[in-house]
Amino acid sequence: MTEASPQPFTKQQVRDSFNKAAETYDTFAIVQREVCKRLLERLDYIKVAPQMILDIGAGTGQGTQGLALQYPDAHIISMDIAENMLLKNRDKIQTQSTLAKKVKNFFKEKQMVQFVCADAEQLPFADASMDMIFSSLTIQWCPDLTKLFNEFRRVLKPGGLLMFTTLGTQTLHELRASWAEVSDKIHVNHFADMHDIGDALYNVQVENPVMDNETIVLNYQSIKQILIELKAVGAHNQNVGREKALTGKSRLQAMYKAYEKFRTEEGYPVTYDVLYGHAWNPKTPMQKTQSDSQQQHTSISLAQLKSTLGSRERS
Amino acid sequence: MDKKLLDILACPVCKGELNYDKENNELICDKDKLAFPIRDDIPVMLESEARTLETK
Ligand SMILES: [Zn+2]
Repeated sequence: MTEASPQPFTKQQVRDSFNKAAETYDTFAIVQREVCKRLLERLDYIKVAPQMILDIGAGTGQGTQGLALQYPDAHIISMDIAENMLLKNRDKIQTQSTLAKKVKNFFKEKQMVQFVCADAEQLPFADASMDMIFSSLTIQWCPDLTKLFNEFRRVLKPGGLLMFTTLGTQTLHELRASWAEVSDKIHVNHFADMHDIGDALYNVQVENPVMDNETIVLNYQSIKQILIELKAVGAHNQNVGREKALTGKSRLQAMYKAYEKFRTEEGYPVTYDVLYGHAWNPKTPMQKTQSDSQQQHTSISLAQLKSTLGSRERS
Repeated sequence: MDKKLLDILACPVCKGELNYDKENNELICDKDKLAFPIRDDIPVMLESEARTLETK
């Protein structure tokens, strides 16, 4: 997705969809769980001791719990656009905390986890307030990545770390192709290309951005089950252009038929093109980028200014 | 309203400081005249969910 492309779905739809999915999410979020686990594992190789961590798109709290275990002294903000997800998340953490009193070395009794409902593109946090932003399979719902990463940079402290996963173009390609054979409308969300994400990271001038990808294929015994599960995790089609008189039965049957050609001995494949990324917020103050051009200025510390003046006087 | 959380929360629109209105259990941005609700102890910091305050 390029940044110029129109927003294919509204944030309200994303919010509604995930609020509805809160009850069923954990049962079906197989890929989401696996990817979040792998992102958490990557933290083992990065030496940081964050005080303040923001988990963006925390959902039912797997990432938040993992972060709490990894960094027992950190204050964690668990954030999601859907408050029903956060209520689940909080219930689970409270259960764990009660457990913690019996089983030591799990949650510290006073582990600081707090919950905030907000949109990743409009973060309600002060500038330079976070040591780490962690976000697993969330930013695929944000169409303007440069704006998003600028917002991340704003709330990260200098030297802060951004760790994320998102979905790439090949995600759900079987379903997308099958729908395309029988309908002109968009039935499957469009996912960003890894290079577009790389470009956006470059645009906002983060340090040492690293990206890589991994393909996960799940096999299903029926196509109907695929659709049920996508809905159960709130990840079914969010596009504004989707057909209103949703897919008459015959059209759905035609789509099923088109999907047959992907079938293997193991069943009907569903591809997830998972992208992993991390980057550092520069230790020097943030330079305003092009998109903030109304108030373009360079910040120079007083010390720097004095040293410049001093050297000029001497010369 | 937890002090530590209030310290880092900002208005999602202007990124300015918020004031906690204990009576209505809302977080107020004076600049944007917006009141963000706190539901089930969770601050809901979405512009679409905020109440617009009347100007005096
Ligand atoms: Zn404001």
